[in-house]
Amino acid sequence: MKKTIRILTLLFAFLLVLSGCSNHKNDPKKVTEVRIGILQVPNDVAAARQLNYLSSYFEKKHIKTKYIIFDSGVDANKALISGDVDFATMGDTNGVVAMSSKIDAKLIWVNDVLGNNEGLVVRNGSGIEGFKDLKGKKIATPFASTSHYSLMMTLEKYNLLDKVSLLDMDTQDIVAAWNRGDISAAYTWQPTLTPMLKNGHFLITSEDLRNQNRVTANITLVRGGFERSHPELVTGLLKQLNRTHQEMQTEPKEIITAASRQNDLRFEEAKSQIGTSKWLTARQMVKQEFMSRKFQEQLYITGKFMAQQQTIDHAPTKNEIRKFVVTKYIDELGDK
Amino acid sequence: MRLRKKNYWAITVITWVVLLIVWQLVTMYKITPEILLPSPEKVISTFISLSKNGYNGIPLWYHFLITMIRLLSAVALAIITAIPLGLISGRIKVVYSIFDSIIQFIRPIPPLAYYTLLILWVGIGETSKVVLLYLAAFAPIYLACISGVQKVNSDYVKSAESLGATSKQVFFHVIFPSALPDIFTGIRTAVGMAYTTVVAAEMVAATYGIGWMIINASKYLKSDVMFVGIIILGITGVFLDQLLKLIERKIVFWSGKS
Repeated sequence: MKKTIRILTLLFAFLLVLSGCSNHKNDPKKVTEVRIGILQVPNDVAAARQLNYLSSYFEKKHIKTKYIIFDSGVDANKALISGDVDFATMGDTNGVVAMSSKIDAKLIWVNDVLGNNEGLVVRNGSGIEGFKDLKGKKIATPFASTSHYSLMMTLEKYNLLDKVSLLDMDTQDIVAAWNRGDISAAYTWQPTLTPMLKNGHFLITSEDLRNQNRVTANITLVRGGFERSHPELVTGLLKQLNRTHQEMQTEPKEIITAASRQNDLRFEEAKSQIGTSKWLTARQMVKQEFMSRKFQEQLYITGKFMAQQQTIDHAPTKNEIRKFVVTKYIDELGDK
Repeated sequence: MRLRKKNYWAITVITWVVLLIVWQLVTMYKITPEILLPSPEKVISTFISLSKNGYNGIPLWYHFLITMIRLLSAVALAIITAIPLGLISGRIKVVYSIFDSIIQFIRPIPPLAYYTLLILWVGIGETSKVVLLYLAAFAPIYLACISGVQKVNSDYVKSAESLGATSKQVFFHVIFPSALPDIFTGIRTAVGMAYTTVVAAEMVAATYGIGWMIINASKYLKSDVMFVGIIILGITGVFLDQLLKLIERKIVFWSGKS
């Protein structure tokens, strides 16, 4: 009898643990800390952080700001599920993954539209002159990233999908493998590109793809529970990010300097890492119907392609995308 | 309260059945989101579709086979090298003094700590993966051999010697057989150690393997595939251990009887 009771107790405990998993979505009424998942790149969040735009805004509301670094959107997504971050910046492909696996999160901001800060680098002297030469070569890229998607699109275009061997690596591992000569090409992003370009060159960049109407971007997601209970904080945060976007167009030097300091880079490094990526202001996004139409189309194309590659189970429908992308915040900012 | 052997078995079975029922109920009433805990049906249907269509264009059995080949070749390599070295170290003090401290130093280091270094040294190919598993498997066998040799009843050695056995004969006919039960325990521990590192070994630059499948699925938040992978690893682990126990009982049938 004792044994049965013990087993039952154990099971009960197990159930409790399970239900605990779902419980911490309930937000307390008062927010004391905002947790922001960031990428270690010189972007608008880095600049806003360095210039204290974010912390001074939240401080006024007696809220602490906490930053959590992620190597890519993969882990940021996991943190969104477990409720460990409120905002997270990631590549839009991770946004598609989040959407397709029905994570309770919304897309509220496009941090930057990617340009030559992402690209396919090939090693000098590896005999790769054009795309056809990629056949049979080892190409590394962080899977599930925007780079992975851009690479796959390129390979598909040149009919090379099954003819190269793709390796899934984190950005630091790519540099190590490149230095050892294990790989002859890699599609990745800054700051990884800089050391590789010393003995390599671009075959294609995300800027070229952007010109071919295959747009990739870094986006910010907000946790659903947070967005529902504190929309005013979402507006407040975006206002600060929008400020960096406006200043990037009027006085880029200051913003780049701030972003470079935040990432321990020299000004020139940060400048080249930002490259030709575009920081659209809320007004520009509204005017160009960027988030309400153009970018949604791109998300749709991305989702369809990823589902076709069987990386996600189902392609998000246009309706799902409309619900996922919340434009009311930038509409509000753009009108002013 | 005393139970017969049969009843203990029943308790184990009941535990599993209850676990499955709880799992089913939790997912049926959507207590947790699907992404955290997929339903049993979903896991089964994912397993079936994986078996049919493969994962990432590669059949499921191939993923499994690759992982097993990596694991078994590492263990085989460990057996070939660790047994002789361990036996000799147990017998000859000089050899022991040379190798033991090195192995004691490497043994407690978590394999992931030196994995990135291994990748820099031997590259991203199969070698780094097998070497990682090999390092995990080596120490348990080596240590078991030493303790096996040291446990040999010295009366046996003395009586063999007094009957005129050469040291070579003593080694092969007295020491080796007496150490065999310990060696087997070492091998079983080694397989376990290598097995726990198998997912880590497939973390960097792999394109197939069950461990890789789990990691890749996690990048796309496919918890159903992760569950399938984890269950496969769990069942295989139990199966491997039982298989080794069976071999052990066949070869060292005298174990525990002297």
